Amino acid sequence: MNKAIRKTIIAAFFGVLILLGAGTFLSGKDALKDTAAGMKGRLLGESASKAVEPVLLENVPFRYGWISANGIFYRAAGMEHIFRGNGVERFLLRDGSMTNVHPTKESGPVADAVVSLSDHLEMKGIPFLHVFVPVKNPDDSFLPAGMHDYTYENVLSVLDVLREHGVPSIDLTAEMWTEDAVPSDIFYRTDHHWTAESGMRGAGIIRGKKKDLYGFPYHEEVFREDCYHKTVYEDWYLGSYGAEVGPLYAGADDFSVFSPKAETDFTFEALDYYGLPVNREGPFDGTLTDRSHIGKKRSLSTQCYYTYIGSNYGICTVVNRRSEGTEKILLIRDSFSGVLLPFLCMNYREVTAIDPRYYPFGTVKEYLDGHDVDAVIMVTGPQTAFHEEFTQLGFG
Amino acid sequence: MRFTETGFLFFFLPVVFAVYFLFLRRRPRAGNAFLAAASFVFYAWGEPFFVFVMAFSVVVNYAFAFFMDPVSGKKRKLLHIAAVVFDVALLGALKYAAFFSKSLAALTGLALPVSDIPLPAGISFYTFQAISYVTDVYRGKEKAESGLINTALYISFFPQLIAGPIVRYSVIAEEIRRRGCSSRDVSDGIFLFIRGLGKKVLLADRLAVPADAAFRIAKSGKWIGAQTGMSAPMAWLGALAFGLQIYYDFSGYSDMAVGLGRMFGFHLPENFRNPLAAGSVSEFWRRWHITLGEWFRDYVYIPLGGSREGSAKRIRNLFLVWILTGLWHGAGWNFVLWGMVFFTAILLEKLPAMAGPGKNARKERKKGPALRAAGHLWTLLVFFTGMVFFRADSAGLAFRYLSSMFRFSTAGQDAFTFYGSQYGIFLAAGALFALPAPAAVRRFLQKDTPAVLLVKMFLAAVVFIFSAAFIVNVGYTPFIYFAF
Repeated sequence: MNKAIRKTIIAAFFGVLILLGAGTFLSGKDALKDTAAGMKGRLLGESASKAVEPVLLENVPFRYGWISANGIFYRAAGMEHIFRGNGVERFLLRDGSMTNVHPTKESGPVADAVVSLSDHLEMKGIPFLHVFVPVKNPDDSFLPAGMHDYTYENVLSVLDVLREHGVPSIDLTAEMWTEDAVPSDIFYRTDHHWTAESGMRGAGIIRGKKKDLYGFPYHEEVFREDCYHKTVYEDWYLGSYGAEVGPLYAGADDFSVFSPKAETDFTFEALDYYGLPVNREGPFDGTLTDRSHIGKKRSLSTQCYYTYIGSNYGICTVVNRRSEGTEKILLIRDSFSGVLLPFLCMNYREVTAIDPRYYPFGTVKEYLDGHDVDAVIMVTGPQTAFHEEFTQLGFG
Repeated sequence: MRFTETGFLFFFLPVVFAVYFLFLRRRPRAGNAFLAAASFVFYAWGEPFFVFVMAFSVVVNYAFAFFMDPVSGKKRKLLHIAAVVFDVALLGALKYAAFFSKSLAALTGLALPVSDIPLPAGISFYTFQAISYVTDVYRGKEKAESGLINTALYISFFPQLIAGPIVRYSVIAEEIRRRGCSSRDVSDGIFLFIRGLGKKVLLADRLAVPADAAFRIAKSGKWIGAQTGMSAPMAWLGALAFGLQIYYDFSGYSDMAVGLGRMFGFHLPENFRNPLAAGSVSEFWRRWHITLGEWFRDYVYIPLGGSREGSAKRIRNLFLVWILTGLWHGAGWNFVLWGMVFFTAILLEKLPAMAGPGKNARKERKKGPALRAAGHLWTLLVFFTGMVFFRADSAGLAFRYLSSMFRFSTAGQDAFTFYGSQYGIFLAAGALFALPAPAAVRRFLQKDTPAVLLVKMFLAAVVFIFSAAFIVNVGYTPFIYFAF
């Protein structure tokens, strides 16, 4: 009896290992071939471990199950801190959302860049508005005890400088965080991005401010949910944080796709990551949203967030062919504008959005020197604002 | 290659085991050749250049032993000395050259060239095995291997190649020549391997988070980018976490190595025996990294005279052993100081015995509960504070860290609140599992009944699933002792 059990144990253990090895190999054989080809001629200089292991890890079968099991372990151990190595950390907030935190940063380079841009535009007579999207942890009340997030302090220190220099700016944290709000009211629980509902709200606040500042026409109704058909994909979206731990750690998010009740007609032009043109035209649904990104429920690889606009294009232009206005807006953006831009476009004639991180044709200044725009809006997340590309817009 | 890589777990191990178990387990010569070849592949996978250094070491040590074995007298002694000098020189050149030139430059102010050769993984371990081989042959304890393959297998056997256990040649020689490989050996090996995997992935790597944070704060004075002080509780938390981390990291590796050895019919010696339950520092070192302690005892301490030639020489011998133990762990003054901490502690424990061994032995037996508890506390204090020297990048940082532990400052308390609340469960689990299991549990697990096997199988499956989940999701982290 014991011998039979022992033989079963041996067969089960090595059977599982062989199954996993075979599955990994079959799934990753092309990538492994490429890796092996890349290592030719460097065999003595490079550790095969370092080259091959990432490829193997990517191709282990039942990846979803492994990641979910990992999430169960974190949950069972009561861990609100997920340390993923190389300084990557996630935290479980008190409302069940996940987040990351950021250290204190120098406000100088960011503020200087925005002030320079503002001065440049002022000289040219182009209205400008700077917007910080909301922060997921404006204070530490939702974070695990003892942890601090300096993100909002960093934002405020930049805003102080902007206000000193008279740069028009909006702090959407102050605008959108009501007293009894929790992070998941504004953000996806499993991602660092704000929800489509928040993007719509944010677009309305920005548009209202533009009207106050510059007297541009403002159709308040296009920023109201009741003017849209809303499809909710329930318990669907695993954001970038959720995909790291599976759905059993922090659950999955509902994902809403909006489609205006009124008739719409847009054109959309962009350059993708490889510099290839992307062209769409027609109604809002299908031109400014692409439901193919909805993908499978609770999938680790689905990027629902890209349903709006599509991707972090270096440059894209949206023309609202039904707009009565004539304004041409330049939006300096990051990924947070994904769910903002479609709603902003509902109220403008033409919006060109540049993401400085991926823009392939030089600096924002060079773009402005070569194009006529009626206004510039810069909308950044509290982290991307500190990226090098956002501090080097060409006005230094 | 590391035991926690998917490349090892899902490819190397099942393939090597299947080939060996199905075709070679009853053919020792072919089996040894296969295992030696597999061991070289295992090493070359991570160290494609230094595998030639290891091969060179194997050939040279094989040759020395081969020519030494049939001769006697001075010639035998000279060959032995030459072999040991070769091994020490190889280790010195690759591990200590930069340390010595830096130290000499700092002492003399001379601009000396500093070697920037990276440290080959496992060189301290396989060099000590090589020295053991030529020394055991020299002493006549074992015959030299007539074929190169057995020597290559002894020095390079993949389970213990990178981080031990350091197996003295006389312990394993017989099994290299002749061994079985029963289903009991293999299944026990699997249990041990998974236990080690769990220790490493589920405990050591979790404990590394607060430990790394504490030493990072001590070094930079910052936490989350902001200036912060180091509170005494955080310093203690970091020291405790690191002590437990290194215990589970290294004993986890050792369990995996011993388990792998069992799968191939080798009974490698155990390396840890609940060291944190020791009642004295001397006892601690009889339970912690046992094979290194035995190596130094057999090849350094006893040849120097051990404890037989009077107190002064005994102290000198202990001092030398601990200097070497420190340096063996790392080429840095912090490791020398780490060795000195243990030397001093052991000396303090041995001084009364040196004054009157008979009386002391009787006292030892009569220790009451209070004295025993004091002994445990003393041992833990020496271990956890001593490990600060081990973890710190430099002696200066180690002293700064230690001063934080005893300064009782509360500045920077938030880090303690955070890491204490998040990782307290792992510290508690680490402390609990470091103690010997209750006698009833031990008795139950030692039974060879179907029920016990099924319980073990269930526990092993759970540990394996959660460990593999971490590896697949987060990737592997190196073992601490790979750096030696």
